[in-house]
Amino acid sequence: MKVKYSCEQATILIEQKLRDRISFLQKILLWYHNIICPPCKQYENQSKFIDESISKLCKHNHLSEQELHILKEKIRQQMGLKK
Amino acid sequence: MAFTQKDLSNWVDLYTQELVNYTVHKVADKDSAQDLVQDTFLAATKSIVDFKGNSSPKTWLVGILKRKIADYYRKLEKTPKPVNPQNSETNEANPYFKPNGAWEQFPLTWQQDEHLLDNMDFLKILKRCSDNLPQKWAFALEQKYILNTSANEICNELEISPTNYWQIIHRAKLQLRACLETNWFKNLR
Repeated sequence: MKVKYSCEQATILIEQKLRDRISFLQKILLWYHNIICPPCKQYENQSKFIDESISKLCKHNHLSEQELHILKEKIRQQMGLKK
Repeated sequence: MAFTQKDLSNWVDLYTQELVNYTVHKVADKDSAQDLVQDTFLAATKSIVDFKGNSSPKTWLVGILKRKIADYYRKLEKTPKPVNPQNSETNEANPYFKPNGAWEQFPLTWQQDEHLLDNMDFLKILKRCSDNLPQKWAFALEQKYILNTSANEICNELEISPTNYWQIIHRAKLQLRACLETNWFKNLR
């Protein structure tokens, strides 16, 4: 079994950890890698921040409650539906 | 199982917001996005008899919406962002790492003030950087936040394996990171 990750492998695992999940063993090995490799630790923080920014960007165009309400009513009317 | 007008009415409540967010992302204009979602539900009313519930209602509606978005671009005589076939796949070696898996160039330290996410200028740069990604990569990256879909569903939609999905996410993140570093963080130094 591989006990030491390269930075390329470690950063893929970081992505999996941020978006999905990794095993307990992988967590330990990654934790160890990050201790001896500050650039990867830094990558993890930056990657987390990038995810937050993407999430923010994706939500930036949400309609307001009122706009949403008006749109839903319009759609219902057009479809000939009653609430 | 047959679906009724009542189901449709429920779906309007459940999915309008998500569908609009998804569309705003594709057409970058809130008014057109609302029109397209409206058209989608209208088309759904007409074809509800054909919907057998083999997929989730959301997936079904997104399918209709996608055709509407394609029509929208056809009418505009504009093509959607082209998929660059050369670099939308991740077969080539990762340029950010040496063959032995070590960093080609270490990430720089970023000066992040706590309100950075509220900074419109920063968000603009981020948008520009993500527009530069191959379409498939950007889709894989953003989908989680737009339609709240799981990694599994995204793989199905993009017809890629989970391994390929993680490669795409990895490459997209590295490219986005480098772009932000060059266009934002380096300028702060």
